[in-house]
Parts: sequence; structure tokens; C-alpha cells
Amino acid sequence: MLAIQAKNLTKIYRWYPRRTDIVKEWLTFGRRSYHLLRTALDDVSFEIMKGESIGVMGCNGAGKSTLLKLLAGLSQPTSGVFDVRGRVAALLELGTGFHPDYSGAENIRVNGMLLGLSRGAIEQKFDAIVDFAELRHVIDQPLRTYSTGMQARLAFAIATALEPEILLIDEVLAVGDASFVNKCIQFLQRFLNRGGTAVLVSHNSFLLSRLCKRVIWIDQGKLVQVGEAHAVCRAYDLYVRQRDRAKQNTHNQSEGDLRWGSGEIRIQSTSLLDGAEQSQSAYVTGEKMVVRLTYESTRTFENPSVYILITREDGLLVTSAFSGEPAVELGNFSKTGTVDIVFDPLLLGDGSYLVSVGIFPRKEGAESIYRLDPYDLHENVCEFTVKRPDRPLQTVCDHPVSWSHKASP
Amino acid sequence: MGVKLWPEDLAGFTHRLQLIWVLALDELRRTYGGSLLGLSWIILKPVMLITLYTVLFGFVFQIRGGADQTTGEYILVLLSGLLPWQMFAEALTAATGAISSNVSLVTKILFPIEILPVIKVVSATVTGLVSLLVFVAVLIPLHHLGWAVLLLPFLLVAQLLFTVGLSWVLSAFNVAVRDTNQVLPFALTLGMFLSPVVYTSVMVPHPLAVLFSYNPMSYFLEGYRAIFLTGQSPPVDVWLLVGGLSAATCLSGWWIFGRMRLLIADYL
Repeated sequence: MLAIQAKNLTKIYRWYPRRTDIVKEWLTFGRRSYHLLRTALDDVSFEIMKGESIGVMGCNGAGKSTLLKLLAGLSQPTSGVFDVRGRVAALLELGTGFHPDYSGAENIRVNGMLLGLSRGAIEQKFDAIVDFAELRHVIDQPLRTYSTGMQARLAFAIATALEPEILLIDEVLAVGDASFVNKCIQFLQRFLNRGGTAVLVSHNSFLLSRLCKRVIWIDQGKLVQVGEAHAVCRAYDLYVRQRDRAKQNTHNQSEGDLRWGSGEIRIQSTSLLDGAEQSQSAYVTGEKMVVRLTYESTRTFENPSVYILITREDGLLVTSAFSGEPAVELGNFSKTGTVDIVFDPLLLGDGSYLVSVGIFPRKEGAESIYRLDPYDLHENVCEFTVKRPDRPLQTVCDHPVSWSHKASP
Repeated sequence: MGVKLWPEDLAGFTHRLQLIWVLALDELRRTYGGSLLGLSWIILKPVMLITLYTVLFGFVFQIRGGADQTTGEYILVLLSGLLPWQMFAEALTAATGAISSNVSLVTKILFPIEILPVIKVVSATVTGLVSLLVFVAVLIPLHHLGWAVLLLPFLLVAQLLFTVGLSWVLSAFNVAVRDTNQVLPFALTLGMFLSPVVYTSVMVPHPLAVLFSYNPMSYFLEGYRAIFLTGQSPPVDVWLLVGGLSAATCLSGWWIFGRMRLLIADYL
């Protein structure tokens, strides 16, 4: 059964460059136009089945939020038709209509009404909301004393009380701490299992591929790709990476943000190699990966510390290694040389990863101290992807385990 | 299509009424919430105002509306016009910014935005109603009141509808042209002097009196005067004008707001 059907949705905004332009247009009774047209959504069609969760991806300004606003009924399409079957709750922003001076309890009552609940329904669901938000101990304190994460929890809890059949969520899971995000994800999974339909807008391809079966990718208002979540997310990530690289090539000054240091030792190149010493950027879990640095040194340094950090593209810190702890003897660095950092076997799971490397003065102690005075630190210098040999699995690592079994006598 | 312009059923309508009432009380609490005396300001303000005018005009200036009118009578005439006018002016001033100052309610959640100006009007009406009641309390010992005071609710409802209709137009207009909010206080002051608020009919030269008849609020004020000062029902033609004006303004305001509503979310 279809839950949402959209045919040739197009939204063109009128843009008045100056505030007086709209008045000028009125004064001529529309005979002269003073506005420019901006196409936010251009001929987008798709269908969403009941019980399905769909992700919407795209860069800033791609038209994701416009699409959600149309589906929510907050804005009218310029042309095209759509049909939404079921009770809709739209979470385009958490905490709309919250009042900082009111207590959590008062905010539940007022906000619930703003979202369309009757007073009776709010009283009925009050306890469930408070429990979901885990705020019972502070529910009578003013909202301004809450942290951002607590406010987000409260807002999300109120929205869940609407018991919608279709949920439209715009990037709101980005706020809040990890446990809140987990809770929302659990709620969404239960919601989907019960036959709910969800449309999630996010930049986070990892989150989307975990929660959605299918993903819609739009760019500059146009539908680029609809399909299986992993495939579309990967295609999108690749596109973003390539675009960023193209941008970096044209704006070399942006390198400054990602690279700093005294320059006494300078990393000349960073390359990724496979077991056969061939340049490589796509690995299979379990293979050998070598990160090779070449450096140029202005004078002789006694056993400096080499640093490597691997992050997943969504920002998760995956692993880091530092030759200063536990101390490894790399010898003296003078003139030029190469350093190999070997990952054998590579235990990472499916995903795209970024590599940051650095060379620091030799010191003992915590890693963070060293990050203050690098000779050279180059962030996100190169990237690679990992694929598990068999089934796709979005875990960050493929930890080796051993098994044992004892049958009871 | 997903958009429902107006309440689709009775439940939707009662929910909106509930919302208006809850949020209008909310508005009052927010306005007076931070002050020491809190909600008692709603009563204190008209008491102070009435006292001020009595002292100023009764003892300092000793203005009289005409040869056969005492200063005391003039004060009653003044207040019986001024208090309803203030209710009108405050409601309209507050309601004009109601849409443009609530961007997130308009663009982020499915909210019946047509009630936003109504909320402001209702909360200003509650304040105004209290000041009228204070005034009524003053009139009782002066034996000015008659059975006609029972007609006051009808006049108030008519004024409420009239103000709501205007506020729909102005609040929607203010989204596109923010200057509306700046011009309004001036327009209201002009409107006050072009209606029999501070003058009585005797004080006004004839050409100006013609202008009064073009000001819709004049008829409402005439109605209040009749009820408060003569203790009689206003004449039938006043009732007809007041009823017709409020119905026409409310309906056309509703229609205009409905037309502009779809543009509002895109423009904000």
C-alpha cells in the first residue's frame, strides 16, 4: 500500500532581491515583475510504501527541506501533485514553540497543544512523555535550566506522543548526545516495525543506511538517484569527496586549515599501499594496508614521534597510533626518509575512512599534549574504502574472535 | 492534498478554540509574569488610568464638554470612549506582528496560523474587559447604569469580530511589508482623533463630524456611550451598523488571510 506518492513535484520560490520590490509589484498589479525565480525542487517523483523508511540525502540547499515542507503541507508545490495517506507528524525543528521560563511540564502541555493534541490526550500521555524523555526529576524546573540535549529529548518525546502514521524528520537527530540519538533510533525502529512510514533527511549517510531501506538523493532540486540505501549513500559520499577535492585543487589556501606545524620536519607525501606495495585506495577487510610517509627534515631530530589517526567519514574516531606511546625507536630523522605504518591485517568494516598523519617532537605523556606543537600535522590527507569480503556490515571493525562450546554432560 | 485551510470538522474547530484560549492566557502570563505584582496589573492599570484622568481633567484642567456639562460628566464621556478604544488599539498593535514574530510556528510545524492574531486580540480583549468592568464598578455608585449594561457582551463580541477581521489583514500584510507595524501606531492615533473619543459631539465643528461618520470605530464608541452614560440601548441603526461592519470585516479578513496564507510560509 502506498503511503506517499509524489509526481513531478516542483517548487519555485519567488525571490525579491529588495524589500521594496514586492510593493512595487503590487503597485503595478503584477503587470511588471520585480522578482527572480529560484527553483528549489525540480520535477521530483517517487513513491513510498506503507511501513517503509526512506532517507533523503543531498548537500546544503539541495532541496531536501523543501521536499519535506511540501510533504508536511507547510508549503504548496508550484506544480506537480502528491498524496500523503495517513496522519503526519513533521519534526522539522526540535523545540518549536518552547518557552524557556516555563517548566518542562508546562511546556509539554503547551507544546502538545501547538502540535495538535487535545488537552485530554496530553494529560493521558503526560507520564509516557516524561518517561521517554527521562526528565522526571527536573520536570518542574524551568526549561532554561535544561541542557540542549535535555530539551531535544523533551521535544522528541512530545512528538512521539502524536502517534503519527507518517513521520517526517529533518536532520533533528543531529543534536543531542549519543544516548539520545540511540534512543531515537530505537524508537524509529519500533515505529517502523509497527508499520509506520518514515522520511528522514540527513547528511549522515551512515545513519541513513542504518535506518532506511531506500534513499533518495537530490541535488540542486533534481532527483539524482533513488535506490537501495547502501548503494545510494556510497554514490553520494563518492560524489561529495570528488567535489571537495576539486574545490581543494582550485582553492589551495584551504589547505591551511587542515595542515599546520613548525615545518622543521615536513611530510612530503602520504601514500596508501597494499601488500604488493602497489598504490591502493580500496581494501578488503583482512588485507594488508601500508601507510607510507616521506619526509624532509631541516636538521637532525632524535626519534621524533609519528602519529596516525583514522576517522570514518561521518567523523567517528576509529583508531589512532602514536610511535611515542609506547615508545618505539624510529631512530634519527635527518634530510629525507620514509616511514611505513603497517596495518596487517586491516580489521576495519565497511565504510570510507580518512587518514590524518603527523610528526611531533618526542615527548612522553598523553596524546593530546603532542597535538599542540607538531612539526607537521596533515589532517584528512588521504582516504580509502573498506569492503567486507562477504555480507555488508556497517560495523566499524571486524574484530577477530575465537569460539568455544561445551555441551552439558 | 495535504493542506487543510480551515478546520475540517467540529473537533478541529473546538481544538482551535481551546488553543486560542490557552495561548491567550499564556500571553497574559508572559506579559505580566516577570513583574512583582503579576496579574494584578490587569486591574491596577485601568484603576491608575481612571484615577489619572479624573485628577488631570477634574482638578487640574477642569475641562467641560459644553456649557451644560459638568467636568465630572466630561470625564465619564471621555473614559467611556477611551477604554474601548484602547482595547481596540492594543489588540490591533499586538496582533499585527503576530505572524511575522512567530516564524518557526509558521514554517516548522503544522499549526493553524490563522489563530495567531486571534490569540493577541483575545488576550488584549481580556485586559480591556477588566478595565471596562472597573469602569462599570465606578459607574454603579454614580447611578449611570441601566439594564442596558446587559447588552455590553453583544457590543464586545461585535468589536472582537471587527478587530479579528482587521488583524488578519494587517498581520498577513506585515509579513511582506514590515513597515505596517511602524505606521500602525500613527494610524491609530489619527483614528482616535477622528472618532469621538476625546471630544463630545458639541465640541466638534460640523465638517469634522462628517469625518467621524467615515470612521467605523465611531459607531462602536457611540454604542458604548449609550450603554454606559444613558443606561439605554443604543439606537437600532447603531446596532445594525455595528453588526454589519463586524460581520463584513471579519469575513473579508478571513477571506484575505486565506488567500495570503499560502504565500506567507514561503515569504517568511
